[in-house]
Amino acid sequence: MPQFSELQKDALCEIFNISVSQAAAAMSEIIRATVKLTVPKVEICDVETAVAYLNQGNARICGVSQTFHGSFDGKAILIFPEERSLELVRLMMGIDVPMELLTDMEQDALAEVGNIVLNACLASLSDMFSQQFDCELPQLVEGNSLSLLQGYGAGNVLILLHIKFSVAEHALEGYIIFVVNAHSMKALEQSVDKFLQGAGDI
Amino acid sequence: MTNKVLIVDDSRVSRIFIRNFIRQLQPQWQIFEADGGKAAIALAAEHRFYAVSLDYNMPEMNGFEVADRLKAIDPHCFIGLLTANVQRSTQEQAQAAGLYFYKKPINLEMMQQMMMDVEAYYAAV
Repeated sequence: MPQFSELQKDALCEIFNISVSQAAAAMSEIIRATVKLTVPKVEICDVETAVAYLNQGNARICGVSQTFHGSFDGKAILIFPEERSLELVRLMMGIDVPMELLTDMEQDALAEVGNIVLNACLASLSDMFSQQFDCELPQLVEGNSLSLLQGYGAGNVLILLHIKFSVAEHALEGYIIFVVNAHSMKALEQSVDKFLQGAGDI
Repeated sequence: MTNKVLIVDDSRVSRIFIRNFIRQLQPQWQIFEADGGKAAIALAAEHRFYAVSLDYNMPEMNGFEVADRLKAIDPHCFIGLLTANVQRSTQEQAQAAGLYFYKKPINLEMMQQMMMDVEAYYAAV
């Protein structure tokens, strides 16, 4: 497991805080409501730890994932408890849309939310790291957290971002996770160090 | 008298960025740092600050709650809210609270703008 110093972790936290905040602003525009974020925590962990974390109270989850490539490669995943995803779609479309139509539109709507939110996140990361990331198309994912993450088991490292967002009056909440391939960790560390150099004397 | 500035941010990295930019732009200013609302309020009870650089998303108290407490101690102090939370509701709330709003990430241009705002703020008082 790669070891990041406390300062590097703090930098990662701040970098992801900024990028997720931009994403929350994008989401806020879509659903026309204020999105609240918790204070972020970053954990570098293996798949089992991430699965255990995501299983807290949510047997089934759904979300949108987007693979990105750059000096480091990985996947950004936006996750909702499954029972809340329709609520999100309802917020997007307005309250007068019939339930059957909502269900029909659910997948399209979630993909669109994921696309906007994750792109805002990655654009912000790209600005701060002064690097370009190429993004693949967003993919809908659903199931339990193990099935969601098991493809990343062998030797991969996850950056588990404990950022919970909520839309207070609608009891909607979710998580954002970044999965970074093990072979990309060195490149990520170098990017963080370069970011820290911009701060001047530590 | 030396102007005192208070940096309130739970991120050590952010405090380093802000501190170094202020040193560069206002080398004569005396810089204080707090890693959260409680420490900031304790410092404000001891010192009169010319300007406060305040993060929004912090544990225990968010930036607006801290600003309320700081304004209760010194209603005339300049407070700049530095945040990546660029939602319209946050900007409106900052404006209503009399706070200056700065969008993270922290960079030299943003800090230069804040220094100009501080000068304009006191020139208008």
